[in-house]
This record gives sequence, C-alpha cells and structure tokens, in this order.
Amino acid sequence: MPKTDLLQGTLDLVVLRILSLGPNHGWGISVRLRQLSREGLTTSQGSLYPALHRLELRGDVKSEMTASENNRQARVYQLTAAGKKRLGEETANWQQFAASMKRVLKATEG
Amino acid sequence: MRFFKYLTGLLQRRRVEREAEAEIRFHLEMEAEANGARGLPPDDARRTALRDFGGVTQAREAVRRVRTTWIDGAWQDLRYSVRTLRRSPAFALVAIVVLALGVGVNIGAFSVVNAALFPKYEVSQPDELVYFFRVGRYGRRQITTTDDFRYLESQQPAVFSDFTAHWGRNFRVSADDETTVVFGETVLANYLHVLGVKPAIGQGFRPIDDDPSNVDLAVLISHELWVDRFDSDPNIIGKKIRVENRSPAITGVMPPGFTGLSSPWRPAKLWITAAAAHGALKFGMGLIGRMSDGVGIDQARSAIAVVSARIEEDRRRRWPADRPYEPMPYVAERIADVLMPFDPNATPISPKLVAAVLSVVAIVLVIATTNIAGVLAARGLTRAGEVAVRQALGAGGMRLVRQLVVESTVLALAGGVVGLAVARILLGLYTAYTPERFVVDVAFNLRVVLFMLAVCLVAGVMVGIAPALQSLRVNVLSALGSGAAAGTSSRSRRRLRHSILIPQIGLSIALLVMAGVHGRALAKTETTDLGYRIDGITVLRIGRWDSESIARPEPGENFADLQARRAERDRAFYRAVAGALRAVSVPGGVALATSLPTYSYEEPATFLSQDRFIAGNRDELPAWQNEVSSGYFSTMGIALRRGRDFDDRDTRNVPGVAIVSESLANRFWPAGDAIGKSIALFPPYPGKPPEWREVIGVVAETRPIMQEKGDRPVVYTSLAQSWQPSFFSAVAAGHGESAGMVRELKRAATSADTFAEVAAVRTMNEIAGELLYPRRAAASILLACGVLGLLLATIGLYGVMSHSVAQRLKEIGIRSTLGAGRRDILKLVLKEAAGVALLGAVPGLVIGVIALRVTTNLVGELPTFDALTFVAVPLMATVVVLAAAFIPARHASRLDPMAILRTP
Repeated sequence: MPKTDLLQGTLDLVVLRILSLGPNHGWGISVRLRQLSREGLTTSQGSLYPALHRLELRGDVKSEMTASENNRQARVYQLTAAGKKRLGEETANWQQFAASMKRVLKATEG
Repeated sequence: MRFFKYLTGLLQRRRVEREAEAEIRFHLEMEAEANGARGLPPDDARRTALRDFGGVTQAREAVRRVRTTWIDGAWQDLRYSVRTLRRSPAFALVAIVVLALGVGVNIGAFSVVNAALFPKYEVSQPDELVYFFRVGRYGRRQITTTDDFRYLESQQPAVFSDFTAHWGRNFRVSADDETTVVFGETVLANYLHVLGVKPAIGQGFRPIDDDPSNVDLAVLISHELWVDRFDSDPNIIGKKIRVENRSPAITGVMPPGFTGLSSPWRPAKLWITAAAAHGALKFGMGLIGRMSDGVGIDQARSAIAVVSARIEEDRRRRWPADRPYEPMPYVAERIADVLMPFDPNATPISPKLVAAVLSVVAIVLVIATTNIAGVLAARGLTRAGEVAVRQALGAGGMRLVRQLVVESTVLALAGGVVGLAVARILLGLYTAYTPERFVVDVAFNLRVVLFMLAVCLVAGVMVGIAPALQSLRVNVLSALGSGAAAGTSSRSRRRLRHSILIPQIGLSIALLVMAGVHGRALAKTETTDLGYRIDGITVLRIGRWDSESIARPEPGENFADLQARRAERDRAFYRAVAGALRAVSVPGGVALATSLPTYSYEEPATFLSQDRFIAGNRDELPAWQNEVSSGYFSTMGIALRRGRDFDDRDTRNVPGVAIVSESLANRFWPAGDAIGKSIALFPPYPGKPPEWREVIGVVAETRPIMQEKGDRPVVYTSLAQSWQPSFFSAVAAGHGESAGMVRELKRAATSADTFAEVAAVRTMNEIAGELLYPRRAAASILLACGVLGLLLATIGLYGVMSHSVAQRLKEIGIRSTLGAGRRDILKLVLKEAAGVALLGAVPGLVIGVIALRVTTNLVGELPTFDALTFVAVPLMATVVVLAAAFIPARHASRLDPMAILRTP
C-alpha cells in the first residue's frame, strides 16, 4: 500500500483524533498514526511537533512533562474540553467534505 | 488566556526550548529502540530513526517558530543585531554618526516648528477662540472701536458664545519703592471668564471692574511676577501697587504658564481692566471671540462677514464725500493660526513655510538613510553567505527581513539618541544667531521625543528594507557553493549601486541649487545701497509711558482744550529730550525721528503740490512721512542734494517747512525747482484739512531693507514744528557700540521728563538682522543642509565605489592582462562616477527648480533662477564626486594584475 502524505490541514484533525483515544506523547502519536492508517498515512515529524505546540497554544491540547517507561522524560499530550469540541466539529466538516468529494468524483466518472 | 500563555511562554522560553529538545530526543530514542526491536543493529536503528524523522534542526526551528511570539522574536532579533553591530564597530559608528546628523537636523527643525506652531496657550479650548482683524489698505490691525464692539455684542451672532477684548502694552509699575516697566494687558472684566482661566490665588475681575466710576480698583499679576517681584508673598492679596498713575490692589495671582493672549512670545505679567487703567472705558483694544460648541472657523467667518457688512454700510454713510471710501471689513482668525514669529504683521502661519523647512531637513534624512542603506546593501552582498546559511537552517524569509530591519532600526535609534545631542547643538546655534524676538522657547517635550522615535523607526525601515529584500534574492545554493557575493549578477549590483547613489547626489544638488539662488539674492539685498547708514547707528526708542495723556479733562475744560494741553506738554517733552541729547557728545551726531527708513510696512500718507492744485490736478501722490529733528540726515548719512536741513529757525511760530526726497521732487517739479514750492499733506484719516508746507530741501532716496528697486518718496517734516511729538526714536552715530554712550544717552533722555522712558535700545544692524532674518535663516539652513547632503553623498559614493572596485578585482585583473593600461582602468571607474553625477544632476536641477518656484514667495518675492548657480552647483558636485571616486580608481589602476588573478 503506497504511503500518502497527509493533506494540508488534516494533521490537526488526525492528532486530535488520536489523542481522543487517550493521552500520548509525540512518538506514540506517530506510531498510532501509522497503525491506525495501516501504514497508509505518514507525517514528517518536522510537522508533527510544531502542530502539537500550535494545538497547545490554541488550547485544544495540554501537555506535561512526565517520566515515562525506563525513566525517560517525555511530554505527554492530552485533549482538553475545547479540543474535544473542536474534534467533533472538524470531524463533521471533514466527513461532509469527503462525502462531497466522493459525489463529485463519481459524477465525473459517470 | 492566549496572551497569558504567550507571556508565560516568553518567560519560560529557555525551559520550553529545553523541553522541546528533550521531546525530540525522546522520539528519536524510542524510534531507534523500536527499530532495534525489529532487528536492526543499533547504529542502523539510530540512523533510520533520524532519516525517518526528517530534519531535526528544521523541526526544532519550526517548533520554535510556533512557540516564539513576536515579542521574544523581536528580543532575539535585537540581541542578534547588537551582536552583529558590535562585531563591526567601525561601520556601526559611521552609520550612527550619519544617521545622527540626519535625525538631528529633523529634531532641531521640528522642535522649533513645534514650539512656534503650538505655542502654549494656557486657556481652556484655545481652538474655539478667534481674533478679529480689520483689513484695510495697509494690512490688518487687531483693533476695534467701542461702537463696533457694542454693535457686535448687541448682534451676538449665534456662532459666538462670548466676546471680550484685550490690548498688550507696557505699564510703569511701582511697588515697594521700586519702579519698573512691566508688559501687561488692559482687558475687559470678562476676559478671564471667556478664556476659561481662574487665578491660582485670590479672585478674578468682577463686573464692576468695567465701570469707570468704580474706585475699588483691581489688578491681577502673573505667577512669574509674583515669584520674582514679590518673593511669592503668601499675603499678597489686597496689596496696593502703583500702575501708571492709578493705585489698584492685587486681587489675584494667575496660575503658572498663563501669559495672556497678546503674544505667546512676550508674556504678559499684569492684567488690569481698561476702565481701571484709564478711568474711562476707552476702547482701542483687540477683539476676541469664543465660538460656540461645535462651530467651525468657516461658520464664524461667514457670520462675521454679515455683521461686518452692516458696519461697513454705516461707515460708508458717514464717510466724507470728497475722499475715496476705504473699506475696513472685519475678519476672524483662530488664535492658534495667528502670531507667527516670522511675520511682524502677525499673519496666519504659512503651512507652506513650515512644510518647506521640514521638507528640506527631511531631504537630508533621506540622503543619510540612503547612504547607510547603500553601505548595508554592500555589506549584505558580503553577508550573502551568512544569510544563505540561516536560510538553509530553516529561517523563514520574513524572519530574515525582519532581522535585518531590526538591525537597521537599532542603528537608527542609536543615531536618534545621538541626534538629540546634534539637535541640542543646532538649537544652541539657533538661539545664538536668531534675533531675540524670533526666539521661541524651544524645549524637548514629549511631542519632540515621540517625533524622534517616529523618525528613527521610519529611518530604520528605510535603511533596512531595501538591503534586506536584496539579500533575499540571493541564490542560496550558489552563495553557499561559491562564497560571498556570488549570488547576485553584476548588472543587479550595478543597478543597486546606482539606485543608492543617484538620489543622494540629486537631492544634494537640489538643496545646493536652492541655497545658491537664495544666498545670491540675499547677498545682493545685503549689499544694496539703501541710501543711509546702518553700521554704527544705535537706535533708542523714547516715549512718555504715563497714562495722564488719557486722563479726564479738568473741571470746565472741553475736549479740544484737553488735547491742546496734552500736545503742549508733549512738545515740551520733545524740546527737553532734544536739548538733553544734544548735550551728549556723540562722534557722528545724534538726532530724532518718528520712524526709521528700514521698515516697509508703515502706511504712506498722500501729498499734493500747490502748483498742481492750482492747475486743477487733484491727484494726490502717496508718500511716506517722517518727522525728524535737525541733524537727522547727516547722522543717518542721507545726502542733502539741494537746499538746507531743518534748524532752529523752524519753530511752530513760523510757517511749516518740509524736505522731500528726490523721487517726490522729480514727480512734482520735473524742472528741478522744488525749493520754495508748497506741498499739501493729507493725513491718512478723513475729515482733517490738508497742511501746507514750504519745501526747503531735497535729499537722496532711502529704501527699506529688502526693497532693492522702485521709488520710495518721503516727505520729511520737522519734529520741532510737530503738533504732538510724544514718541520718537533717537538715532546716534557712535562708532562701535559703546555702552558708555548708550548709558549717557539713556540718562539724558530719561532726565528730560519724569515720565520719559527708553523702551528699547537696538543697533540698526540688529533691526536689519530682524528684517532679514527669515531670508538669512532660509539661506543658511539650505546651505548647511546642501553641504551636509553632498558630504554624506560623497562619503557614500567613496564607500560604494571602493566596494565596487573590490568586487571587480578579477575583471580589472583580466582587463589589465589583456592590455588595458592604467589610464583605461582609471577611466573605467571614473566613468561610472561621472555617469552617476550626471544622472543625479538632471533630476536634482529639476527638483531644485520646482522647489524654488514653490518656496519663492514664502520669504518675500525672490528670483527662482540664477544662471551662475545652475551651472556652478552641478559642476562642483561632479568635481567632488570625481575626487571621491578617484581614490578607489587609482587604487584599482595600481594593482598588479598577476597578483589579482593568482589570488583564488
């Protein structure tokens, strides 16, 4: 299965979605992304970390430094109430967008 | 909330960065571990993790970009800038000095304009206050009559909420056995109320103070007078002082800063109502109105035009039928628009003049910023490597531009701070070389500091933006690959060089052309033979400052008798002063006159010769009248052409005599037989019969300062035959300005009468200096700015050309090897400099011509063209430019081509 780069603007949504499954650190998020998309989606870490910090500044996620397994320092991100709300909205938007795209593409084929 | 996060982010920036670093490290370690678990050897596991991550530095930079706000971004830029500048102190120093000069002249000019344009009127809502002027044939006067005031008050146009009146004059004030002359205002009792000010101590005027029969007289004093004269006496209220011949009690002390409205540059220190000062509600005061809420000056003007038309109608009806009617309509001006120090007639401030001065200094700033921009751009080319590295490391384009602009703004701010010192020096020069009456109280207030900051920011951006954008065009790969300066083409470098040099040279030439035209016209004015002596003449203004002259008539005395009594007393005063002065030994003589030939704005009277009158020719000829004593012509150096001077024979017991100037004699008696003829003088006010006088002499023409052409007919009459000589000037031709002579003259004049007063002692040179000041100031500002501009442009050109030679070393080397001689190399560089000079001269001359046309009528009619200047300035500029380019050119021509080509 070929790997697809995330569409512009969808990274935030994906990150929020993954964090809705539970608090996680950056690496964990990237692993989850690969797992959930069955290796179909990847993101450059160069954009994942800035995205996490941007989301935190926006108030959609919060983070704290915790000692993780084998005593390493890791920053663990967690969804906030605002983030949950945004996730709901963005998911609805995305689904509507995807459905519209599908219709358009089908129409062109037919 | 978000802002708070930014703030904590700012405070904990170091921690955030450390954590971001740890976060990425953690990611890489975990990834490597995972890779290891998949069976990769440790080294490969780590390498794969790194590769998959894709650009650790970029990621870190990206996180930092998200995290850093503009505040700490700017802070970072600032620290980086200071570091960069510290690394090249010579450049920083030159840039700061150049910018300090550019900013300094702007601060200096703005400080003066600021103080002159926004004089502090310590009154409430000064924008609502207007002065009323009457516009007549000879300009405008801020004086009105009682009738007009009453009429205006009775009409009370709705656009005005209040009217009041004031007049500034000197008062003789005696208190605690000390008598001095104090400038104050006679006012109406509602003056302070209309102005919206209240005494800081005590009370203001009461309505009864406008009643001439009131005996309980009140006077208010300024804070300054209270402090200086009365030692801030807390029990001052109720103290009786003597003001002229009245004894009012001080009822109030005004707050500090309140100096009346007569002149913002001549503070009033005392206020008394007209009724209290004169014992009668005599008018002859200036009218002030306060516009109602929300009324604009245009509305006020049209309202006053309606009232004025009715007043004019009435005047016209009463005007004598035998004389042409002279209208004198009222006009209104906001007080803030009036009283400009550059105009003796207090016309509204010319926004053009202010704009002209500020434009000239702004041009200097443009030259200075372009100059530094040039050096920065040249450095930018050599810094292409640094820029490329930072770009490759992930610094965004905007970030780099911002960094460079911050760097230049830091320079500009440093320049601004030094510029304040430059402005201090310039303002010192301004105060030292400006006649006292034009000196405004210049202080560095908040407005000036804000102006300085604004100028620095603008200058910073102007300096930084072009080089910054230029550096962005650097091709990262080729710059990294081949070292400095390789990233730009030679043509674009050349274009940049020219776009930096041409404006500097062009603007300098424009300024110098203006300076040349103004300067040469001024030189002509200053060397014109005016027909009288200016050097070595001292002028003392002498008068009776008592107010008895307007006292009430004695019992049984009618008005005509009162006037005759006053006139006789003034004649005695004149005789006493003339006699006392004659006893003082003055080398070149001393004489008296009612007016000086230097001024051009006095009103002419009209005259008619008897011959013409008999012949039925009633055309009066306007001429200026001057009442003088004997010896006036010899003292002033005015040549007596025919006849005799006034002497002791000319008393009031014999028929009146007159001496006329040549132009008048030629107009009335072209045959040259003026002596013995009769001439009629018509006073400027209607209703008075003409006075006939016999011509006993003809003297040379005199011209007011700044009038180089045209006749100025004068009729001189004798002060000894004058009906009421109460104010006059003594002119003394002492060689040099000996303090002893002045003291003796003063003593002689004041000993003549108990109320005699010497109001002002000045030399003719000082008087001429005041009249010429606007032109002298304009010429010197232009010259200084032009020379400064050309100097900066030359330094800039030198720097840029040196840089260009350094960049073109290879080309020069190749040319030399291919057979180009030293002369050819010299020509190569000088040709470019000459081209730049020529390209700058053409727009420079055009700008100069336009600017001259715009500014010519700001300081009197001036020529807009001067052939010599228009040829000499561009030539001189070219020579200077070539001289500056010659040094790098010679350097280039003396290089050893083989050595150049061998260096990598």
